[in-house]
Amino acid sequence: MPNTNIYFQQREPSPLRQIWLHMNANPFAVAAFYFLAVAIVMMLLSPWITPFNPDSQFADAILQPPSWDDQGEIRYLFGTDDLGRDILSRIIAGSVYSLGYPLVAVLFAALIGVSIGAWAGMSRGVQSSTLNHLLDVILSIPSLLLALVIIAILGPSLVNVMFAITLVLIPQFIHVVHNAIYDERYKEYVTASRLNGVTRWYMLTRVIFPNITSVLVMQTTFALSTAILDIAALGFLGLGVQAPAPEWGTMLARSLDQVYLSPWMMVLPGLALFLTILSINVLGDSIRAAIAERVRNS
Amino acid sequence: MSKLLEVHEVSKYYVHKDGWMPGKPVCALEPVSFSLERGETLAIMGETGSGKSTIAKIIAGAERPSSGDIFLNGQSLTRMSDRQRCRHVRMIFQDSLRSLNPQITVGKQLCEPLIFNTDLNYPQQKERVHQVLSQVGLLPDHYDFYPHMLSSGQQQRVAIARAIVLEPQIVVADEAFVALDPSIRAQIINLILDLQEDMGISFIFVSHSAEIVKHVSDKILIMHRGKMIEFGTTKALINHPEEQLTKTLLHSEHKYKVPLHSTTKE
Repeated sequence: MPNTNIYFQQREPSPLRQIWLHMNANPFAVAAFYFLAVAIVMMLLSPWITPFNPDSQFADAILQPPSWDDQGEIRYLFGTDDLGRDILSRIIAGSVYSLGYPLVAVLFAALIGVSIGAWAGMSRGVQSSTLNHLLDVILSIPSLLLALVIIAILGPSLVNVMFAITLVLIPQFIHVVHNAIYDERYKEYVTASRLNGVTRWYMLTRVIFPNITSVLVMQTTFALSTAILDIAALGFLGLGVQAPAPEWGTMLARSLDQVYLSPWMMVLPGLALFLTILSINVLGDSIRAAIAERVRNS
Repeated sequence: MSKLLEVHEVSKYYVHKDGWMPGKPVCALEPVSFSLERGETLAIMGETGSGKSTIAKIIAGAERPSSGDIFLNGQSLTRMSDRQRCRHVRMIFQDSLRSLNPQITVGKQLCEPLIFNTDLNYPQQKERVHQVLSQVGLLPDHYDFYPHMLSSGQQQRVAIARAIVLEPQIVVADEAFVALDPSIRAQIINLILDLQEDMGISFIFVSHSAEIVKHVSDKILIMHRGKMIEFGTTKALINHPEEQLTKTLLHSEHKYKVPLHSTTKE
């Protein structure tokens, strides 16, 4: 049936749309959202949109300043580093390591953490406690330290860093999901659904989950900024991603030697890192504010 | 065996755990027994904390009794799963907004019992929900509404729609009319009476209001501190109350003048 809009209808927006509308009112949140969207698209397209191969060295253009400098060339938009590699290409290619790998780590942590947390939240008594506190011991160690311990045992490599970060994020997800479900499951609408005779799976996925998505979104943004920082920090220390790979933290570490000669080598990857983490935090924060606002209004 | 519902020595104890120590059981409901015929309306009255909500919740299955058993047409209800039980006994909660899922549309929530308890396919479910919505005085358009978009009277109607969508034999209402203003309360009570006439449902409802009880109920059960102190037909309890409390509860309209016609049929 064609949707003929003859009559003026005012539809109240759905809960998710309300959050979106509220977020839209905050220009910083919108800017953060678009920055992040562009960054993710650039990351996905990075093999095709880099102007040069990030590893190819141009002997005729060593330590070329960025193009807005008097000595800069438009060919190398962000300049080149001490080996003559194009910094723009390296930053774009580096987003795979600095944004893509954290995304994958958070995805795995969320998958494992949410399923264990949901299981813990839906069960009761000893089973619930056991599952909830299963990986609590990991929480007592800071994520960076745990990553260092794992690297000390297994040796520095990206896989080990990913493993460490995922492991640290899992118990946080478990706790958040368990607490959220626990708060919801004694509310009356859950009892009402139980009296409808629904299955446990339906109860979890269709009745409770729509009510805890906000908490999940918040935890995911928080975990993402932690993961990005950790991978960059370990790269900076030379323990994570290894040198020729264009990871932002590694690039920062490399630029330390020539920071007075060629400050752009440090500023540009640092700026990329800073803006990414800032926009993730701003986005997470405004989503939380929007959810709080919606809860207050309804 | 003509009794629809037979409550046999049902009691409820809560145990408040204090750390690791086993706590002391607190009695919410001492063993009570009563029975109800098909199509009858039972009102449960009492002071706050007298265990009247507990009885309602136990009958509806929201809580498990500590002891005793409930029989529906001679079958034990306590041994049934929630799914078997909800085809026969449904509940209307005290706070209708809190008993509706805030993130799901009204229509989907009303479909929920149909998905799990009937063989209807999706268009048939939708058809049935539309039918029930118009039965409780809402529009089919309300299918796509979220609960917070409705007024409290409409939310109450949705709660009633959810209770009757499976065509149960008993509907339990736990102080479902407290939050409503008198005119909407009258509408909703009349709606329930109409539904009772149409579908032959037995109603069990918990209420403070003597007017509603007198107007609607066939039998009254008076609770006091977890004990059933009186049980009988409305007429008998109004005319010949045995306990002082019964008298107080049923003749309380002298204290605050609520116009009696507000609860009568229009």
